Amino acid sequence: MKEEEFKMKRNKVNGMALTLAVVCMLSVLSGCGGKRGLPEKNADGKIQFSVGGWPDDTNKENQDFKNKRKAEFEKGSSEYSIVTDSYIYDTKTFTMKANGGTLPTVYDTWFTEIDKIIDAGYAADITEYMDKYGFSEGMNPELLELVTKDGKIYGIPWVAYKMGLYINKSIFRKAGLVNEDGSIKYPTTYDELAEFAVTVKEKTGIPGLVLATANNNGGWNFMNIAWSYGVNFMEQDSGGKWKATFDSQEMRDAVKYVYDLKWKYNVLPDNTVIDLTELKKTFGTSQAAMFIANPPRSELCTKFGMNKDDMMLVPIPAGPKGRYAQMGGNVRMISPDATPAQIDGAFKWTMYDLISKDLTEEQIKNKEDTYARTIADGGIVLNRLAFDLWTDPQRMAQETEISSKYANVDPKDYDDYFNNDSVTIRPEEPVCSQELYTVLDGVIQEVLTNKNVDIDKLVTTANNDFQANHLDNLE
Amino acid sequence: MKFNEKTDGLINFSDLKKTRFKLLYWTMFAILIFISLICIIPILWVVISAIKPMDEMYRVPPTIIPESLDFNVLKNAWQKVQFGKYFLNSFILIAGAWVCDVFFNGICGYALSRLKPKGTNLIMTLLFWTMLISGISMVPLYETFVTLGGVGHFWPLWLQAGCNAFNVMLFRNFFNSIPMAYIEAARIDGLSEIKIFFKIIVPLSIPVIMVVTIFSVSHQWSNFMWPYLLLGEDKIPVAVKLFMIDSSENIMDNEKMAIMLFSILPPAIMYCFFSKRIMGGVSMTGIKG
Amino acid sequence: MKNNTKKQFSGAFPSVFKKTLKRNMPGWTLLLPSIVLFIVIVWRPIIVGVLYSFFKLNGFHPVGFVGFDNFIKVITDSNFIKTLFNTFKYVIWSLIIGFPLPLLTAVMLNEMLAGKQYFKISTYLPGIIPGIAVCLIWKTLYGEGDGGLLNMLLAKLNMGSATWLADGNKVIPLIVVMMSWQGFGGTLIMYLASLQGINQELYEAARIDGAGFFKRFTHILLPHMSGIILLVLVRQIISVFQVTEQPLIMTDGGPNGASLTLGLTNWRYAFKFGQYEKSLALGVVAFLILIGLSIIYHILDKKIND
Repeated sequence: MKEEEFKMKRNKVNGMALTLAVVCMLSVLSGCGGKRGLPEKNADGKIQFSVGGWPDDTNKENQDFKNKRKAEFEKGSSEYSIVTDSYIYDTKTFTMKANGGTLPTVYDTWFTEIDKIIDAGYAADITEYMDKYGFSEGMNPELLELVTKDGKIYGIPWVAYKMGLYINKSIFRKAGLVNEDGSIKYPTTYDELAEFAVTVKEKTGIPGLVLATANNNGGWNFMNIAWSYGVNFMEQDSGGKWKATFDSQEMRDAVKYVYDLKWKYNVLPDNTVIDLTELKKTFGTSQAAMFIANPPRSELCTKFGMNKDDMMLVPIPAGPKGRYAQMGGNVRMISPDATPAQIDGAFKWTMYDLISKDLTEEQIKNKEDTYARTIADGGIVLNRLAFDLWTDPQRMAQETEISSKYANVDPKDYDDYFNNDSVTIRPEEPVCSQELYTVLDGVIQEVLTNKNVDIDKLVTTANNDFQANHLDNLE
Repeated sequence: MKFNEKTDGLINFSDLKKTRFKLLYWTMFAILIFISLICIIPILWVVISAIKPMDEMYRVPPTIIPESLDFNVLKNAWQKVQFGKYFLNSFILIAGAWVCDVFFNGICGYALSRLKPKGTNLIMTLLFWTMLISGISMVPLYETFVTLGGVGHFWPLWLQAGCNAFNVMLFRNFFNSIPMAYIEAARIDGLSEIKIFFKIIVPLSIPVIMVVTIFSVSHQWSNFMWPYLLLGEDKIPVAVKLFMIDSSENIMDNEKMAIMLFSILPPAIMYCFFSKRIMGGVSMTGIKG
Repeated sequence: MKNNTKKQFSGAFPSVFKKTLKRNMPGWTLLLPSIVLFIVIVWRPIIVGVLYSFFKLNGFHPVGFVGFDNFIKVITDSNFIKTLFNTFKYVIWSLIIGFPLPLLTAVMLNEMLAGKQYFKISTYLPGIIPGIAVCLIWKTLYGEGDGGLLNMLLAKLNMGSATWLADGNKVIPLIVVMMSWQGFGGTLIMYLASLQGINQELYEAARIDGAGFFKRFTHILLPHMSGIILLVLVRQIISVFQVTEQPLIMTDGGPNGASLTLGLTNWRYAFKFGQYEKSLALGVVAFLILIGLSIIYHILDKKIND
């Protein structure tokens, strides 16, 4: 009897377990078929699409400005209705939003994220619209290539730049790094860069240079140095397999250079956890005299109170094997859940608000408004775009004409950066660039925190790690 | 010091007549002072930094105690961020989550501890395993909420608080410690199960409810990931705003500290205000026998 | 005899069933809402996650069954062992720093005649600060050079300055100190609540029997609190084992991976590299490791409850 009871009890428990499991499994199979993305039509029958990156309440003035633009657009194209969304691209939540189908129809991101997004199918194929609205033929092919995969286009690059070397003029003056005519001297090679940094440190006590070290920014920053030292990071063999090739003397020299900046010359800040925000803060609050970045850097003024006339941008220094500057920029993408009508609307808005092949009167006015706002906010307007977005020289001249009217910095501080032809612009590495940056972050951190580091071993390990953990996993 | 009034605890008045116990008492007192200092110095640092003028913030070397005070930092930070709205959102989030947390986990813990229907062991095992897993389920859960139409609403967050395996365990452990004799006595007096629950169990449970309340409130106050994912700009709570501010370009460092101060103040005030009640509630209960 | 039993049993079955139903109905009714919630919000998503770890995913949509491939990739990653080792280092440091302190503080605090309120409030304050704020605050405390508060204090004491988070040997204990600071108050409150429940007569009786301070501590206080101590211990091990946010914000896993954890690696797979299947597989691996710990808990829990 006792045994019977026990058996019954056990059966019951097993039964319940089974039921629970079945319920769970059933619910696994069901569900997840819900509607994704924004419905095409709103209650008034208008085609609606959402636009991310809308200014939130902390930025009331910009919000009002944008809202005005939205109202004007909706008046001009009355079949559309814009839903605003304050979502700003952020690695922490992007995947979830994209998978859940809650991305805004229109979102902006950076060049470094493009591959990941296209591979995972988080961006809509917009080839048709790029052709229709003239982007495909008018845009700089170098940029189009970045957003193209298997012949399809997935994004609209709207800002592009090459990296340069930012200099704090007032620190340089204090350090006596001035030519006879009063202009600022600047380094043109990485060796000179180290010398200048030493002078700054000796004369003012301020670290001469700040390099990023964390959150992939370390690797990203280091690419400029590495390429100029002749490092070749990867190669594709005849079988299509990618091989890591930076276990080389060039890489050792480049890493040794960073090591020397810290331990031989001692010209870097004490802090060794430096992401992009920290990087800008260190330079913007005059706690370092130089850093590698791209223009314009309005936030240095608006956020950290730096004087815009204290900044100067010069070409990236040359290394022993060349003078390479990394290309970067922003790209607009469209949610894969968007319907054709929504994509069309999103393009019309983008052309109205951001970028289009031909400049209309209205767009010129928009651009002027934007520049005026930047100046009102205390930001920087340069006399030209940082990069030739369009192939048509006349189109670029038009841009230059508009921005020249509003330029609020001395063009001399930027001329060398724009006009130096010895600099070669390079896009990111073809595959696994984010993974490579993470590996390089580790290398940079190690040489900056460990005086007794074995660079040979460090580089070999990094190369092998990158090969085994990332390149070998590619299909 | 009225040592002769100390009638409870490990050491009581009769012990404290001896010198070595007195010594022990004062040593403990000194250690506690030290610990409490460690706890509050970083917070004081925030307060100081929040009223430090910008130029002192970035001076080399920076000042520890500011030479001049700039209360405008607080004002500017508040105006820039319009915190009132986010505080209200936090309040709605916390209130709903608290109700669900106490109610669902409480009755679940009670059933598992006192009623023990068939299947209790199975559920206990499942609950325990649940505590061990995190991260695997994020995307599927997000998809679930999207499917159920929870994006932009508070209720998914409330319901999420309603299934907290740890709190279920906490309730169960607590109910386990209530002497069965109370319930037996009530049964003999002819009280129904429901009456037993409300007349005997609930009043006895105040300590554990208080503990869960504190956990629930402080967890929700700093809950960031899910509100960030689910709620729109008009509904986000303070913690999410904090995160957004960290990467925001137009907030200065001292203003950032001021904003952190704002995020500390309300719960601190609430806690100071209610702590007597909370602790009083804890000690007034009848578990002591 | 045999016949008899069978007959009795079959005849009694409906009533046994009814009886079972009647006895269990209140319990099941109370459990039902919780179970539904747990299935929808917790268990089902977990099962989906585990299932998908055996697939190749495009975004989060399975495109092909790959068996144990994802697991092999995750485990053969050349940093896996190091990361696992780091994660255990966090756990061990948290057991050294974060576990005994709240317990001893609670016991001491419970003995105080004056200042109790002040101690309770001051020790609980860190617990109410949102996690992100805690990390940002401590980052400024641990600041390198002369910018960090700790270095400023050291300079005031003429002791030079130290490296903090940049030192690969120190970085984990330093992050654990911060985590312990944050979690201190919450644990303390649980212990205090439990201490209130100790039957004072037991102390009285022990005193009459001539039991000294330590005997009272080990024979009355500890046994009474063992349940809650164990629960706190388990929770602490589990939560520290999954630590992600703190190293992410404080050091990004650096210097050179010295503070990298399984959780952070998982985060990188999922959000930085967009390799969801690997993230899921690593989550399952972490879960399997925790199951090992859970078995220990069950054994201990049984011992205490019996």
